[in-house]
Amino acid sequence: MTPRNLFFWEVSYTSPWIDFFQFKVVQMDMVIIAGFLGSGKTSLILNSIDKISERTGKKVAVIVNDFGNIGIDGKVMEKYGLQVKELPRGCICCTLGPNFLDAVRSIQDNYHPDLVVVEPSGIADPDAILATMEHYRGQPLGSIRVVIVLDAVRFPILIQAMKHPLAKQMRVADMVVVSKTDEVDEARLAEVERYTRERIGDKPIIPVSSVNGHNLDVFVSRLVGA
Amino acid sequence: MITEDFAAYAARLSVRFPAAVPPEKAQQMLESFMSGVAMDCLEAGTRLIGHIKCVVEVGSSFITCSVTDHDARVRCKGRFEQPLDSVEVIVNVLQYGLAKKELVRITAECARRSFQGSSSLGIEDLEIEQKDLIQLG
Repeated sequence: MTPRNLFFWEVSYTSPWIDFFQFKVVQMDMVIIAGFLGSGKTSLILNSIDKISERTGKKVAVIVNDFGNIGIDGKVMEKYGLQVKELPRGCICCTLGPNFLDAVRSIQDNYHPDLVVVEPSGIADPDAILATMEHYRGQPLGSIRVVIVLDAVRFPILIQAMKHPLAKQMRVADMVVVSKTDEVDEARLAEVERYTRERIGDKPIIPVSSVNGHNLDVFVSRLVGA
Repeated sequence: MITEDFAAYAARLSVRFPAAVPPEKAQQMLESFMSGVAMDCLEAGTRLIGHIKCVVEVGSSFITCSVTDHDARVRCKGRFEQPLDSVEVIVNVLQYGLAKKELVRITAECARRSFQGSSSLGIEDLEIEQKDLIQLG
């Protein structure tokens, strides 16, 4: 297993209106945003996290599993003004399982967020993360949902080279976000949607672009039910 | 998504130039480095690029560049705006098909090629925390 870092950070708020809502006593929900390497998970999170807090007043914490001693995604998040804390190396879906559970519990106990968003590295198996969460001994979570980000640009090569892992991701998906819609035509989108629909039934499929903002509001609405 | 042929390499490049390099030239070097790594990986046998990405801190700002496609197209957010006499690049090469030692070799070769004219080029493996300094000239 290749070493990785685990980071977590909380979104900090200054608005008193939002602070008021932080006193709500609610169960913490978890959303796992998984997907192949380079599919646009980090961009999706960066471009939607503010919308979640703005629209609902929800307090959101994020855990990101990155690669290398100095993770690029974590560093970028820091530059966006988010607080980042580094945790020991390992993989979120296997060797880092106990640390991941500790991170979730620490966030739940110390920050009391309404929602924790988990971004595993692009090689993680979301199914294994769900299995890890079965060992969670903190306060019960309200819900755990899995969002799979599917790269529309690389879709043809992914279904060839990663056929089985992709199918496995689809099996645990509660929602599929088709990313990079600004770079593909309608025919490609239809092709991706057809593939996805056959595998996830009537669960939501949301085409988005983090570049031009296409459907990000729809994604946020689906995510937080607002 | 872990398969037997997955390999990854994380490194920090520390580049020093003998004189300040114009921002456009520095940007060109960075993008050339990133696309070079992708192209060389594909030529050497990468069957699938996962993600080749880098981040460069420039004062309080930063530049990120990314390659995911097999056409080796580099997408960058942010640009250099001031001349610089040194640059530090954190790069991740995540791919399927080549062993890590090949990624180490390709990254070093592309760095030497793209940052030509630098007075020193240090490459630190961010996984094993061992610094290999490559001296040019």
